[in-house]
Amino acid sequence: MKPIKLDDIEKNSKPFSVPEGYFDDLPMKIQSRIQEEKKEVWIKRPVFRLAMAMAAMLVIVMSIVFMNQSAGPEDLLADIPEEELLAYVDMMQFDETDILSAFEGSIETIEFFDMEGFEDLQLEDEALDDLLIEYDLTDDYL
Amino acid sequence: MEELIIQKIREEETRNYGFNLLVREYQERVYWHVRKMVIDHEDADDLVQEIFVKVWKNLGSFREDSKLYTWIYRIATNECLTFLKKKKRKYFVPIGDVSKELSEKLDEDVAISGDEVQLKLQKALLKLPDKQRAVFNMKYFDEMKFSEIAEVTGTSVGALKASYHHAVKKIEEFIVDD
Repeated sequence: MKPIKLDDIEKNSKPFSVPEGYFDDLPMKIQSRIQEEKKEVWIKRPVFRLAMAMAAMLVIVMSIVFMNQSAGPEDLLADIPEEELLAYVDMMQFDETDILSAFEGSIETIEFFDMEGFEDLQLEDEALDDLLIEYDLTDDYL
Repeated sequence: MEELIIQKIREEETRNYGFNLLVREYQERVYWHVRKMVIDHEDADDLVQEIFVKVWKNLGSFREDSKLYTWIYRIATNECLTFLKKKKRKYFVPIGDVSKELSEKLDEDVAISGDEVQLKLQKALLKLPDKQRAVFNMKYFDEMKFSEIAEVTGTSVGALKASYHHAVKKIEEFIVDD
């Protein structure tokens, strides 16, 4: 075969097809890529990460506070059917002492109750005295 | 133009404008350099954008004792060689298979597939090692001086001359054998 010299071939430095208008759009594409890079660099900065961590922490704290406020014992009990509550009380066989001790530390709450119930309490004198002392009722009782 | 661009990118206030001038001045040359290395337009497009992002990021490290376009060519050539190396590693294929894949892409290109001689030349070029192909392209197509190519590749002028002449010989043989 006849040898081919590179000099015999017509030089074409742009031999492939390129989409129309490609070079008109290329500077814009490069600019937007640089903008993306800048954003990424900013996101990776420690100050941004710290701010994001603090914001996340704040959201978590606020959520906990809100949940504790909105879901008190009354709200939680309201979701349980009455039959199930009665069945639970029956099963546990609470006596008067248990019920009174549930109000420990909140004497104001007791004052809202009908005090007639106390007349029927069958408590030993010692236990009664303890209760009166505990709830600071000795003066009223006397 | 190169002086104006350097002057603009040197100042903080005019750096964006200078970079915009730089992109418009060199985008075509960089694109064609990359395209001849990776053949596929989509790959070339992605790489060219990446190259200019790198140029932007490294404007501060550009030393004015070298020419701006040889500095850009250096970044572009390195990106191309890294891309091709990754391509070979990624698919665990022998070098010959990547050349075959690129060769098939040449057949799909409307512009070159109709020009038998150019198609043969580009296919012959794909048989060269990537770095030698880059050197050949810069000398033959871009008509760069060996001293400029030496700046781009970090190779001595003597070694480049030997590499180029060896490449020409191989290409002429490949074209005949094809």
